[in-house]
Amino acid sequence: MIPDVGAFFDQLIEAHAVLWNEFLPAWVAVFLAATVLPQLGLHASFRRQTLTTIALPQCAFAGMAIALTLPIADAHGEPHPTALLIGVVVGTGAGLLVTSRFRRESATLGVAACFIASLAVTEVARALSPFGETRLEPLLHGEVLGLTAAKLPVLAFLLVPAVMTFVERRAWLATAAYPDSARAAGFSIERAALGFAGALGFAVTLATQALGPLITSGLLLLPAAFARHRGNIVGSAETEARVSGWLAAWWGPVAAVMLDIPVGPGVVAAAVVVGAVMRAVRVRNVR
Amino acid sequence: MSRLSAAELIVVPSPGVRVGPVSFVLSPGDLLVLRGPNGCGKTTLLRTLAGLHPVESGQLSAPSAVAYVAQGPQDEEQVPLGVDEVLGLMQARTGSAKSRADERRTVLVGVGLDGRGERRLSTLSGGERQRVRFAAALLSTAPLLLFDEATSAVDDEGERRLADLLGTYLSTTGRMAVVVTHRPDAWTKSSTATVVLPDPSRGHR
Repeated sequence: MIPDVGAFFDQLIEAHAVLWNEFLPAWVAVFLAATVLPQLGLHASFRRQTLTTIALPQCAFAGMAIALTLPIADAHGEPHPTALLIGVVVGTGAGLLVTSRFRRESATLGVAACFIASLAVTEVARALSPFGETRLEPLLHGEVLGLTAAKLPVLAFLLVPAVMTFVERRAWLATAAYPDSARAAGFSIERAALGFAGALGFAVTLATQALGPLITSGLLLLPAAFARHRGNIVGSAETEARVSGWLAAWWGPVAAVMLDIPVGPGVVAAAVVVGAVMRAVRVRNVR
Repeated sequence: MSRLSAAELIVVPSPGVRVGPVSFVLSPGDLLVLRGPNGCGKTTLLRTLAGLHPVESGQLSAPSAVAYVAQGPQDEEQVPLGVDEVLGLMQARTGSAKSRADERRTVLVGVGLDGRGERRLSTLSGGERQRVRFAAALLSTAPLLLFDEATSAVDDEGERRLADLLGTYLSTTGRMAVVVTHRPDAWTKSSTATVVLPDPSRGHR
């Protein structure tokens, strides 16, 4: 069977038009998340904290799920946004606190336990919460096309950790690769660790409450994994992770509209395809 | 801070083990060679000079920021750095990007790694990686440079070259250095003083 290329491109253009005209806030939100999360995922891998990035979005979502079980509603009967924010902050904070207590050998089991516990808490909260079906399930699947422009000013704060990855880059890399030399040179290991944890926690909190754990994890882990897998040096890996994150944020929602699936799986699929293509093309690799 | 001085300095690497007392004074341009058998506390003493290990007793006056090249690669394997990126991490942020890049190229030529700036660190040999870390220390603006067996994997001729380079660098910049080595011959020409720590098995610790 010969695929109808013309019809495919018609669908592609139509999907772009639909996204632009009807779901632009959601598209922008995914782009904002893709601006910072792949960089943080990459630096987490340099700092041996990849396991933390796996657990953290789920912890944040568990906090949000617990908040949605509380009888707190605004004037319109919707869950109170402040309660949701507190829930997601507490979830992320608890996740950071728990995962930071594990080192090296015990980290695998400890962080995995944290992840599984968060999943269980989320499921229980989803069953108990009156908003389980209307709010939690869509976010869990990454059904975010209904995201409104009112959310964007809050999500714009994702640019804060994005700027931090530029400003603190040298300190983060030096303390990760050469902790003793960096400390002797005047870098503070503690400040770098705290700054990175703060940036990661802040970004995960904001992204998870608006886009859910699937999109957050997908953008945090997949571009970084592909960028590292190719054996790039740091500078090339950062560029590749950034570009593939943006491409996943572009094509994920497009795929979701074309295939009539949630944006979450669309972003994950796009990140995998983009990563695989970039790996095959080997745009630039340093011997 | 223009001098490094230690007076009756004693450090304790682990409970019940003492290193010292050690005394020396370094002025701008000086290079001290620190020698001694394995396990005598050279690394601990160097870490103390770097501010990474506490002083047990005695007096130590050292700059607050130093360039410290550790014995091992630390967590270097975890971060896929390129040679030029390693140099950039410790290089002072002064001057234009171009002048900094030129400076990095010049130092690479000095340590015998001309043209390897774009290489990934993990593709270099052990000796070449040590030369990169050595070069990174030369790019810092710290008044004190500390090298802990930083040339142990470098070939004999290469080590003499690095010793000469460091000697010239110190005399032109007025900085100071302490070098731990088991091959002192290469450093004879450039060193201004030597401290030998006693054998721990003879009960001097």
